[in-house]
Amino acid sequence: MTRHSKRFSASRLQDVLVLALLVVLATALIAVIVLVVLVMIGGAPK
Amino acid sequence: MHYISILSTIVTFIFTAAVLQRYRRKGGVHLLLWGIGLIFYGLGTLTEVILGFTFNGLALRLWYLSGAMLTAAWLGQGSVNLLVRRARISQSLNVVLVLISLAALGLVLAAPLTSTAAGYQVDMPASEQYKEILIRSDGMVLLTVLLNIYGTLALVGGALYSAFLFWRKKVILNRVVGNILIAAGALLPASAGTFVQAGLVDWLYISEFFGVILMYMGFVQAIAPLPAPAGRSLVYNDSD
Repeated sequence: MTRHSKRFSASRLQDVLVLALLVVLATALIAVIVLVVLVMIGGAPK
Repeated sequence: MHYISILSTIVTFIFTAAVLQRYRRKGGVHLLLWGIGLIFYGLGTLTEVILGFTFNGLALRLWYLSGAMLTAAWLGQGSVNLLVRRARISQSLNVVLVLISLAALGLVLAAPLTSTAAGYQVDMPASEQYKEILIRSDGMVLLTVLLNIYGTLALVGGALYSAFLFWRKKVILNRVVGNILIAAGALLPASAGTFVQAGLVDWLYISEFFGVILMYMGFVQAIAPLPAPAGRSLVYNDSD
């Protein structure tokens, strides 16, 4: 039995794209949290 | 929108069964907590289905308790248990969440229903009508918001953090993909409250459906065994 390597490689472009996606999702998370707080204090547009 | 809630309920309970089955086989408190969170998710969508056919005070209360208050917090608590290495901290937070959940149950059961309930319209979303029917105390609203912020930060933040770590180390690509899908899926229902407040009441049902689909895909992707290279056997220590 041979242990299979869990490692993978990625190009520079893939690195940039994945990190950009993570940043977009993290920004969306912050936006959702801010909007929840705004709704709580009644500041969200209706 | 009834059919979307029906589909969401079916997918959620299939997802729940998969998570709890994995918990039974491998253990891990995080899986149990995710399973409980998904049961709340499914209860939320199931009560939506009921409220789409008839009004029932208990169903409305269960809908609010499970969907609005507890789902995100319990799912997020699973991520906290997975990521926080100090058992004492995660166990303490588990106890706090149980106590807060019991307090939430008490608040929801004690919340009075107004006479508007008599005019409940089954062809309109519950999310559009509940505020006039269920009188929520300031404490209940505050608790709802805090539970959702905590749960969303833990679940989405935890998934993004895990994806980033796996990607940076360039190991287990399927967990990078799985965690990104989980984060994207969890963001959808997390944003529902804001959209409902802004008047897009149907967004709740759509976001619940696509949210659970994405999270399920992410879970399946994250636990998928690594493909064995041709002619070789695979030993993959899957510790989650």
